[in-house]
Amino acid sequence: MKKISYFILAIGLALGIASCEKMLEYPPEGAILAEDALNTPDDAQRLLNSCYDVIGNLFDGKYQNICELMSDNMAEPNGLDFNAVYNRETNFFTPTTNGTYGDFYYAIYRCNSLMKNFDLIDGLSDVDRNRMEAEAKFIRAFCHFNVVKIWAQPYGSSSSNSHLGIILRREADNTPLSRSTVAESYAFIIEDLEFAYANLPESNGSYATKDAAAGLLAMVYFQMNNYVQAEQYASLVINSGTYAMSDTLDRFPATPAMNPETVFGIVSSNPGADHVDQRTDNFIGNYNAGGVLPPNLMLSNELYQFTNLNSADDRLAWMQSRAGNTKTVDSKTRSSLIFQLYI
Amino acid sequence: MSKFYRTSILTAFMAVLSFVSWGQTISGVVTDEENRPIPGAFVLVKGTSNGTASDQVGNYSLTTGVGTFEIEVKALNFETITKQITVPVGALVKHNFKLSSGTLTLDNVEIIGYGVERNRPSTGSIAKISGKDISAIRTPSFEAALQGQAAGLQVSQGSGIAGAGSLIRIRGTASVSAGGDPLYIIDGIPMTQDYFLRGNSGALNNNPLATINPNDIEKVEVRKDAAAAGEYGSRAANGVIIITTKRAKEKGWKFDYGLNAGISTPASRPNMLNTDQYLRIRQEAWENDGGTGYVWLPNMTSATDDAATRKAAYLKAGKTNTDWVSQTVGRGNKYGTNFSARYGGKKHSVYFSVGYDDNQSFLKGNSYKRISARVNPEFRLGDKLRLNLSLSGTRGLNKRVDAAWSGGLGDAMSNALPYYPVYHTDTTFNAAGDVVNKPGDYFYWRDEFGNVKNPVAYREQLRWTTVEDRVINTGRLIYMPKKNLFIIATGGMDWMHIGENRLTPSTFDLSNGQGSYSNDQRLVRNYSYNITAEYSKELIPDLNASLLIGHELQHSKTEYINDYIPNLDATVSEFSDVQNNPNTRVRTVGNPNQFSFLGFFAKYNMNYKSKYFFEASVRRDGSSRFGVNNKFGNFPSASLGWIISEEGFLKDNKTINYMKLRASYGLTGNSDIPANAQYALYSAVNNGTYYNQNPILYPTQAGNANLKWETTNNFSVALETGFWQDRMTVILEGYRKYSRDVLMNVSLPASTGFTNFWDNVAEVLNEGIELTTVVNWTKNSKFTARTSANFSYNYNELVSIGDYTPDAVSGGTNDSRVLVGKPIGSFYLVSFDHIDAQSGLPVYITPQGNYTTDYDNSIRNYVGNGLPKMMGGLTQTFGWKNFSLSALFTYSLGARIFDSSAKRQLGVVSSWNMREEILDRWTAPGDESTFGRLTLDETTYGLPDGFPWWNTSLFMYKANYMRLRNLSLDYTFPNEVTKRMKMTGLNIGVSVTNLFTITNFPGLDPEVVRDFENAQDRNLSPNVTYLTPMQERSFNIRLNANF
Repeated sequence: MKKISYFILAIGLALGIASCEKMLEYPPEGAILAEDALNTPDDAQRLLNSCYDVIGNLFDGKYQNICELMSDNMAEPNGLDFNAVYNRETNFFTPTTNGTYGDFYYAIYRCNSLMKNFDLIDGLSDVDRNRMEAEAKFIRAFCHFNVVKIWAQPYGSSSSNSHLGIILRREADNTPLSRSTVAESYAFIIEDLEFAYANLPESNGSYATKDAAAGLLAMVYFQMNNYVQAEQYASLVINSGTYAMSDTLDRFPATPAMNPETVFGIVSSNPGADHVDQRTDNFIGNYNAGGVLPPNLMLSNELYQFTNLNSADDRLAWMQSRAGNTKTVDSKTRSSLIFQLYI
Repeated sequence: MSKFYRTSILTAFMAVLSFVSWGQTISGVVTDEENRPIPGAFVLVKGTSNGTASDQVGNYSLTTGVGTFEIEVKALNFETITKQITVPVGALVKHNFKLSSGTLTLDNVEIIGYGVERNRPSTGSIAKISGKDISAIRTPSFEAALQGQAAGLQVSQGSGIAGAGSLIRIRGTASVSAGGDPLYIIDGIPMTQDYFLRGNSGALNNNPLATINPNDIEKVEVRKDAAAAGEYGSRAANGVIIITTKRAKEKGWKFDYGLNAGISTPASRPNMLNTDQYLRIRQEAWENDGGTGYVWLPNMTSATDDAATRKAAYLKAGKTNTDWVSQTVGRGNKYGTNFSARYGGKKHSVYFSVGYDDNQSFLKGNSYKRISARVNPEFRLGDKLRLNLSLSGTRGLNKRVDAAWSGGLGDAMSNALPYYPVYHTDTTFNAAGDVVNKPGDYFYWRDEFGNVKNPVAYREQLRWTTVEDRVINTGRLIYMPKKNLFIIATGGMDWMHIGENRLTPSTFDLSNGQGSYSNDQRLVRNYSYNITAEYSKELIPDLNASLLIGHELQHSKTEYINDYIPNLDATVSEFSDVQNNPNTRVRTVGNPNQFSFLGFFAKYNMNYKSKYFFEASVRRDGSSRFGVNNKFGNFPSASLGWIISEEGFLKDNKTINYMKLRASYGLTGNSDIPANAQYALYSAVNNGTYYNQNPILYPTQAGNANLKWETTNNFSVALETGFWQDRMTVILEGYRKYSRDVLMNVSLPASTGFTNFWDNVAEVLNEGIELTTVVNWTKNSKFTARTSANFSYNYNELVSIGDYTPDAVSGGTNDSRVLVGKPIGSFYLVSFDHIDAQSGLPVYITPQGNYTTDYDNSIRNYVGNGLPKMMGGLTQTFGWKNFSLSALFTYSLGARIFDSSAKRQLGVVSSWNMREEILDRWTAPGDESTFGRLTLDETTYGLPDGFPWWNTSLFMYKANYMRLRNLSLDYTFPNEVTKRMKMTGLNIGVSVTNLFTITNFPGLDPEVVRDFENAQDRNLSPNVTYLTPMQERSFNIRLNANF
């Protein structure tokens, strides 16, 4: 009897120990473990697509709202959130700012994750790898550039540009970092863009191209007050012959198409019937939110008075259309392209 | 001794009462050979079911008739004895029984925890509460009845909502983001104890303990220190609560029938303003802000309306005065009946019970019905094998109403202004001349967020039930192949199915007239087993040792299904209408959630001369919740016990009859975090997003492969003393719990690309003192008086949060925080200082000590915390003849409450109704007042435009209280009466809960547990109230018959 019972116990324990590691593995269903996520070149491309998708969401009104709110030409807006941005007193309860700021870093993290995991991907050709790395660095630079424009004092505010810039994310990790200087921020952005410029293809569908990198470099140098470099890179794009100025340009065509002036565009991710972007509701609609007065965004009276001096000023009609208690939909805001880089 | 009496006020009573004759009883003390009292010994008339059990200090009192009886006395681990005793007419027979410790046999063992329960002094800290003491107090759920019954056990009843749970903490709060509740074990297996299966639906966290029938509980053990809880090692950091259900112990048949009825009323009432007061306050605010004419009124006029319109609306509003509190609060009826049968035979025995309990709360339309059945059979398979089963099935039917932020009484305390009528009183037309409302139609208004409101309309038209079905079955095989060797295998399943049905009728949708139906189902299947082998042996004379080894496995899986039917028209107003509705059901099947737990453990126990005790245990436990690198953790513990009164110098002491010193040290752990927190995850689910028609793949969760056990270094020391033959017992305990690697759901800086991840971050200290005393004031008298009191003091400090900043973990919705050097759940608010007598404006004080009138989040600082420093309970019982009177007082000192609803009820005048305290406001320069100049404009108080949420320390209050938790009077019918009725016992009683409360808290109720969003919120936000309903005051009668 004694032997039998010890035997039973021994079996019980043996079963327990032998399979214990397996018994403690319950990976979640309906999600992909990070280590299983990136295996094929296609997976890498999909991760890269998601970075463009983030930018699409950002430029679908969020980014424009923040820029408007922080410009000089606005009256104090309506609503807690916008008010907080306008008055530069955002906090926990006003998520607009942090949401926008965070979105840029979502894209940056994804780019960094992609670059970190290139080696795990079977069958990734050097050409594709190079292109993806260049695209990832383009997007990383693009995001860092927009963040530094909004959340740091401008380049040149201090003579050595040693004033606080932004957090630069070079790696895909969670460690808290402190802000780099503006000089470091711009240096990193340029470093990424130079790599992108050297490695991006001339033509790349709806993704970033060599010209996009050059165009962005021109904008970065312009922001740094380096007009010589800005002119050089701008000229590269202008003289490429790929783009043309258009007199009859509808900047917001109703059907998906890049216009001849577009150097780099983000295609609307909205799956609505005709890829209509949401800037009408998310951004322009804030100037007259469905007839409810006062609207969320309001131009300053000074700007209106200034515009009013010249009755031929095209802006006047737009402003007046939003002054009354009627909803005005500007058909020109219906577009397939929600962000465009113009030179 | 006589001095002892003289000092007692009760002596006077006794002198009077001693003339009254007593029934025929035998009473005395049951002790072991060393004259140590044996609690829980059964004393019964042999061959009958007339019996009683000895109390904590061995006292028993058995009512018999006149005659000669064969009295049988049996106790766990002791040899059963019988004795013939003659009881003459009108006599009071004294007889003490001395039992000799016997060999453990299958007939006298009891299994609690993992091993055989031995009747020897424990080296651990265990508080035992009998099932009788639990079922005697009528509470929304059984665990609330534990309040005040044990030192170191904090029980805060959630609210008076039917079925509401309690917040239970043992020796302070040691966890930050992981669950801080104790581990619940029922009949040997860990229960499903997730409070957040239904999230925060309707401002009520589902209470996983509500389905337990309190009448089925034999006893509850609260295990506090490393020695007592150590055998549960990795899950015991927050203590262990062990529930044992009833079994048949005596021979033959025995039946119990219980009936109770009662009413539920609120223990307090909100003092909201009436129309006249509200309009005056609002008008004054308007004028203070520079307004002229009549003030505009929410849902009637706006600030831009002309004076005549505003005036007409104001005068019209003045004609209605609705007391919304009375519209939502009433009187609930309670009714319960319970029947149980026990049979003890040679080969098998069984306990069987059925119970029905209908518990309406004072919230109109709210009730919790419990229908339960239990069968606990035991099979004796020869001399060496026993099979014990515990089979139970319960249905909990919760008829829901909105509460707190969700509506109902919450609306009555906030957006339901007194000038809103419940029903329209006249016919209204739209511009086209069509009738919009007729008299008798519900009047709807919109709150500040645009939601359509009217708590009466919602209660009467919303169909909302939560049905919880629970099956807990456990089986235990006890095998004793040879003397002193026990092999015990325990297995169990706990199935919990929650179905929440909610039909929102079309009438609430004022613009489109569309209703919807939702059926949300959660199924948790929790399986576990453990197997142990225990061998004990006398190593050398007087040195006994035992060794236990064991293994345990648990697996739990939670599944989710939601059916949703949108666009229901006016024909669908009842659940039955939904069946036939042709609209498409949208079914969402959630991803199942699973976790598992695996443990190996050993325990070694030594005892020399029953005087010196030593115990050591070690566990190695693994959890699926942790990362590959740290799945397993080790949890050792060691403890010592020394019975000092056995030493020569104390042996014959007249005053001290018993003294024990015990100490323990060990590691305990916690792993109660979301099942998938460790994994870094990606998703390929589009959810409508892709880039230019191309699929996307993206990271969703940061993960942490190094995630590991939260561990607590648990040191405890205690001195147990008995005076004058245990007429008074005192247990003094001290403890220090230092928790490391405390799990936190860390908010990441947005720049990382994630919002949060789990990490082992914090260090938390809890240290405290506990005192428990029981005094039997009387001895051998017809009048009995017994006082049982406990007191606990706990110091809580968050010692470290590693490299993270306090922003890394915020309480979120509740303005409570983790702050290094302060207790967990500190209130982090702008400090209010005073109202300026000249301007009537609030003056704040910055952390640097400067005054300012500018409210700014940057000047928030630590202002207090919600943890009680001291708490406890006092039970006073008097017995006289067949009457027994018992009062349980509970108290809590040193905690503060942040009245998060007062910031609107007593702040800026808005579309919320206000409380009467606001009448003490500043009206003219020179006024000394509690509240400032009334205003409709939040910027007056320095708040941001559009932000009336005034998070200041003005609304943080001291919340000391003592309440008469329960008062009951019972009468036991004399034996002659019951015998004639062919019964063995008949008892009737009346009781009242929360009869009165003494408190310095000016708000609704000083005992508050709000609805929580998650386990972290539950840890960080005790004592924050946000429109939380008050406690219940119930009046009850009950009847118990035994035959």
